[in-house]
Amino acid sequence: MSSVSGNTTDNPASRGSRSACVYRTVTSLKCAMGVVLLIAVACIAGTLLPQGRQVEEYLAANPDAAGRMRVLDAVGLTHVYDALWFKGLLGFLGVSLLICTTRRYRAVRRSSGRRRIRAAGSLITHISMLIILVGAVVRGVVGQKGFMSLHEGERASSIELAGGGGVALPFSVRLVDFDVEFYSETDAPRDVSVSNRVPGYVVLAWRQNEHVTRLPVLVGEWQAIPGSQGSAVSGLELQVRQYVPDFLADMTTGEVTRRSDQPNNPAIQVSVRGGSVGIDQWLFARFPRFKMHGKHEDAVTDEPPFLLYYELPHKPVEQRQVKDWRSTLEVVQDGQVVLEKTIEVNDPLRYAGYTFFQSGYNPNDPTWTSLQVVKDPGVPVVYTGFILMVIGLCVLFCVEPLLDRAS
Amino acid sequence: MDAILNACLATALLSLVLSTVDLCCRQRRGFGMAALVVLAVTAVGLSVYIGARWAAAGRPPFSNMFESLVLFAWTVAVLLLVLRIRIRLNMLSTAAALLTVVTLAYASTFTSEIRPLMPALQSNWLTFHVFSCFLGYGAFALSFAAAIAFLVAARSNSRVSEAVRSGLEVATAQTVSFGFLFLSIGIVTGAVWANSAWGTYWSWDPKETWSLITWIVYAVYLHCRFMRGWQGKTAAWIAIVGFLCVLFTYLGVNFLLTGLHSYAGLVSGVLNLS
Repeated sequence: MSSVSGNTTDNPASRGSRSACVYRTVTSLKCAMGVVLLIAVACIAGTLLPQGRQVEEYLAANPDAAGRMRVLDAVGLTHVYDALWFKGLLGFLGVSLLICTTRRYRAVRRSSGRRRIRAAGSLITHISMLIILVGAVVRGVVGQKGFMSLHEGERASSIELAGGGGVALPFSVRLVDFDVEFYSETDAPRDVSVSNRVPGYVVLAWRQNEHVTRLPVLVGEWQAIPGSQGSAVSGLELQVRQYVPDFLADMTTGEVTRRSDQPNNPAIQVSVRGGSVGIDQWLFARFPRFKMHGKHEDAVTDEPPFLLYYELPHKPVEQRQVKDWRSTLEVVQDGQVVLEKTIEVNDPLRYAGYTFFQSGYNPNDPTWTSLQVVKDPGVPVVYTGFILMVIGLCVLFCVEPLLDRAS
Repeated sequence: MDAILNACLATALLSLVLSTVDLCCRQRRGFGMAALVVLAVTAVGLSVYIGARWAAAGRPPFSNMFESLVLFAWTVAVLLLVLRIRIRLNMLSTAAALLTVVTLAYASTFTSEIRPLMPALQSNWLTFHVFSCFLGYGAFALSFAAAIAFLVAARSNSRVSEAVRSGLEVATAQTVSFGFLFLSIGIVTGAVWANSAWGTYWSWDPKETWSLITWIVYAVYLHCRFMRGWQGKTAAWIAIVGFLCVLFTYLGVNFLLTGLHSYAGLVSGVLNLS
């Protein structure tokens, strides 16, 4: 056979060089960056277009869009993160990372000094991403996610999966107690632009016409009191002399102290002056009918034309903000309680590979709790990847430049 | 406390004026140094404000839009001061002062009330996650400014010296590197926190997804130096796109994508394009 052929497509050497060329292109950095950018574009689509169950909501509001949604659904843009092509891109990225890791390893072995450190940092970073992808695959293949709903005293030994169906557990879980804690009125949003502002209001109930005036509790500041019916002048002034969150007084000496810093018994000392009026009283938010005289500074004794109260804002239950939900759970296996723990958000219960997270509650049923239950053997793998990624990036962006400057 | 914040806004504005004069005035009369000093005062003031709010709230002040904007302004100011020690580029001072002013002015449109935290936010991970992310965002903001300045300097009719162009390219690369490290730490801590709160380290939530998109764009930037034809202006444009992704991650997701639950606005616009 002539070594020179007019038709190069039949030349094995050409086919080999074409394969090598394809391999080089597919494993090139530019190709990997292209795939990564495609993943980014797909992610953008996933955030802008309705996904999964959101499609039904969108169609309910926009029935004319049914045709377009069918097209988007056919190409997988209504379930981007579960689409085969998206997983294919991630798979390609994984292969690319594997090849990159191999090349980085060779670079580490061949180089020395700072170049070796840089190559090592790059190697660790790329391996870490590969490990994270592996962890995600483990979650996808063997992970389980579902929920469990319990009333106090109830026991369950299975979970309902998010995608439908159920999984039996090798143990049972009983809800011993459920507790919801709300923020108190004194935990309400505070306006810190006024530094002497204390929660609540001083309420003035005018005797003659039952009109009510509310003044903010501003400690140390004299405030002019509007006249009855909100008119401009009453000739009287009011000052809140001090605020005590947890009032305690020695009834013999009259000395006032505070039992604690918690708003268990909020009280304010109020002075009113003007004309022949001069009073000084302690008002109690929790005990509106109870008054205690403060120290008198002068001899005038006329009472003001209103009654004074210290009022804290009360919100209806449904408007109160939840501070915390807590479920006390008991794990029973083979008839014995093997674990008991009170869980809350950010502090789950872990047993036999399953993790129970405090998820939600029913405002109309304070004995009911909702738990998120997850089994994910991939988590330690992913966390290992996270740690390695941070280490690798620190080597690349901190250690190597420091060594570079030092030399 | 708000008086401190207002004072910081005023000093940031003063720094902006001084640094702009320094840029425009050919005979440098110390305006550049004065601008830096005033920006340093702003950074100190913001540090005091954040510390005072932390003490008043009894928790790190990183939990809502107002607090995060103040933190963002702080990171931009502080990182500029650190960068300026290594790279003498006065135009970056102007950009940092402008960013600080705009951020604090925007923050003033939000209430400064200290609000109690919802259960999911009651975690130490909040501090690490938010602080890391905003160190990243601050660095990316500076890289955005440096990249724009580089593109302007790289025009064919530009009289900017090669040294300055090179300095801007280095500034972009260094700030992106710093930002990428802390964005990565922010994403990782966020994932760990999400796993401890909700049982999943990644749920393709719009906020998470856009932070990943931002991370990808900057990862591409960092690889640019190894790809022929992708250095210089191409890399600068990638850095600019990256910061636009940062803005969308930080603000766009909150204000545009939350509105998408009613599927008005952006999504309808996207679907109507097809």
